[in-house]
Amino acid sequence: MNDKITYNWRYISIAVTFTLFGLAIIAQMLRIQLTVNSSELPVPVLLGQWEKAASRRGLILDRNGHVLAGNQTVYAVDINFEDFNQPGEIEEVKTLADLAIETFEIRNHYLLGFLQQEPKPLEKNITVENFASQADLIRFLDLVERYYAGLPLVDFGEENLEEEIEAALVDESTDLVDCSHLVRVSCTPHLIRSYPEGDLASNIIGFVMRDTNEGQLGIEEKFDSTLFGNDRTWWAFWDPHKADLAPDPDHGANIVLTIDSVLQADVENILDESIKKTGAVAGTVIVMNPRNGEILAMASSPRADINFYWDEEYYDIINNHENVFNYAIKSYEPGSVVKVLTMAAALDAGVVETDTEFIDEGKIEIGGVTIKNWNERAWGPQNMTSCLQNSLNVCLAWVATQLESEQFYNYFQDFGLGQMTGIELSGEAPGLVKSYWSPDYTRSELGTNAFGQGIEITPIQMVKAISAIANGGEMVAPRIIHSVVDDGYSYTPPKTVVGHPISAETAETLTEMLRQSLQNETSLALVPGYSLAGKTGTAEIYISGLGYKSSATNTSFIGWGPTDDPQFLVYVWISKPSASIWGSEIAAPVFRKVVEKVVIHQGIPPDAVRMTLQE
Amino acid sequence: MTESLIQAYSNSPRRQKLQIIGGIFMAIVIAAVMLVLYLIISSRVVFMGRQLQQAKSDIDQLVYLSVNYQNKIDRLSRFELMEKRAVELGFRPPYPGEVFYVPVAGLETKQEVVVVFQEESSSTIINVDLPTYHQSLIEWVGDQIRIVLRPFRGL
Repeated sequence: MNDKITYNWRYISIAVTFTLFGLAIIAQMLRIQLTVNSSELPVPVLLGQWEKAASRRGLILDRNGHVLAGNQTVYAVDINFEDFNQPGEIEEVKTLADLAIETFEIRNHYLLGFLQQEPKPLEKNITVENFASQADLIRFLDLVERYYAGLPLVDFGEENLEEEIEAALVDESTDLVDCSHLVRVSCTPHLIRSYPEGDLASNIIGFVMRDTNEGQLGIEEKFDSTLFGNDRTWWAFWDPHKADLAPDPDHGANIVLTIDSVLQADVENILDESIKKTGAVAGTVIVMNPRNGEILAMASSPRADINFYWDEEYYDIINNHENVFNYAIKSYEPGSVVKVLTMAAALDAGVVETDTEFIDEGKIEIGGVTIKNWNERAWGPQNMTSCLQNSLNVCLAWVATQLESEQFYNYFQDFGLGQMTGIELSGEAPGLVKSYWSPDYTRSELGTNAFGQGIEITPIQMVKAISAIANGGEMVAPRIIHSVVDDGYSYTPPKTVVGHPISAETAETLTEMLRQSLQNETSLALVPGYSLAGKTGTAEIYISGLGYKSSATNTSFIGWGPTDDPQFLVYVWISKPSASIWGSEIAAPVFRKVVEKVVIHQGIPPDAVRMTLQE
Repeated sequence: MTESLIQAYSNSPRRQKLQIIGGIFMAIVIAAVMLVLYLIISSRVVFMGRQLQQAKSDIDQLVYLSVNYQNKIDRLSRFELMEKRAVELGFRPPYPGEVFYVPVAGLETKQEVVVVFQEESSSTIINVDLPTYHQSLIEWVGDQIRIVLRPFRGL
């Protein structure tokens, strides 16, 4: 009986214990349900983190596959400012901050001020450098490891370290740097734009802003969405049961330009040399294949090393008051090169012929304005070829009056003057050619526009317009995109004919006139062995408040060849040279030097050899 | 008589206890086998999951490495360096008068260089958006049971 009682007591104790334990669990469940904010609780099935598939921006290549714009791996370097209180830890963080300031040459005032003060614990990491190069990071880690190893930070030889870094770069520059062995330092690789050729073709390419990853100017801006590599983000579960394949990186499309980088480099050198020699302030040279509109070279000066677009040295070049980085698409008053188009219109309309005689009296009055020749003298009896050869303003103004305003400006419109060419570059200027019916138009402008003053057009517009003359009346749209390649597929834009402003006969006649005029004036533009047609241009520059000044000119030259089978069309514009004000002395020699390079690069033999080969 | 003997034998208390114990052991063995199977499959799933997670990291590393290699090639073959090297080797650019053109019968003229394009993408698309990639063995068994019981729902 006693045993039974004892057993009951034991059973009751166990039951009470379990009951209390169960009640405690239930109470805890109720407490959690009623008092704890559910949003603060981890949701096991959703635990994970946002991750992204690294994608690279599309490459920009020249026509031979040479990379002009690529990518580079850099690192975001963080210092951990969490959980430190002890003096040793404070010193550790302070030292890391000092090393970062020294190695990464931190200039940001806010960050610099924060890193230089006595460190205080924060709940986060501080990014001390977002675009650390591999070399800088290696150097920083070397210093950090020396600090942790108790080695002196200042006694090592700078040269030795440089050698070490150089050796490391040569041997392992392609390997990623790993910072995971350091507790207070982390480094995360990411990609940024890189321009291996520096300033070569920089005016065409533009650049990518590091902070926003947006293309600015040139191809980079025009094709920003095409080149953009979309970092695909997704929620990566920590639970391995729910692990999924990462999405494929969405790399940007590659763009192949029509530019030949070797020719581009040669043309840029010629242009730079000329600008330096003549004391000019800027200039551009365009080389186009008039058959299909492909731009083979488009040099513009000054240029910038777009790897360092933020550098003070380049600030004025990129952010100048006229917002001009590529002079090939900037509008200006071109001067006498426009006479070619005036003559083309007149010949095509049939108002003059090559042997039409004009008595040059040294001046002509149109719309109440007296127009004079460049040397202010009378040239006497002239035919149309000699008018072009001697670049007579009076003669060409008279030719324009033979057309009258409506026909003259209709031809200019057909040639695309004052209209954007649609070349695939950001920032193309439309230029300005007044309509003859606009209220502020005066008849005197017919005379001045005939020789390229009072209108604003871009070099690329001139190239497009002149392609009609070089190409037997067929005007082609200039293009700088050879093809776009994406995910194994490519698209090549076709040649685009944008009109026939003049007949094939007119084009042939005018080409012959310009070939003869170039030969007769023993121009500095001539290249022995090659038949070339061309025209110089000198335009006074309008200075606000002072009017047109003869001392400041835009010198130009447009030419093409071989005249019987045109394979290149070259436009030269040198702005404000001080050595001479004349296009014949400044721009014409540049044209010759460029053509000498073009014929070799393009494998164009001299006329005599070419004729033999054709036979 | 024989039947009643067999019945008496099988219904004996000892025999009944043995059957119960045997049944319990059998259930334990089956449960253990199922548990082992579950653990094996679950561990394999976890292992594969970890591999997938690691693969993502590896892909990123390869992209960064590939970019680094490309960048190194680009910088080593940049025009300025090539020209400098050519000058060091005693070369210089030719002038038009120095070039000899020799007609060669049958020789094709300079062909435009075309960047090598792939006709089709080489990437393989694997559909991993299937339930079997995401559910545990228990969830799968539950699904199968639900599928089997579906016709009886509503009876």
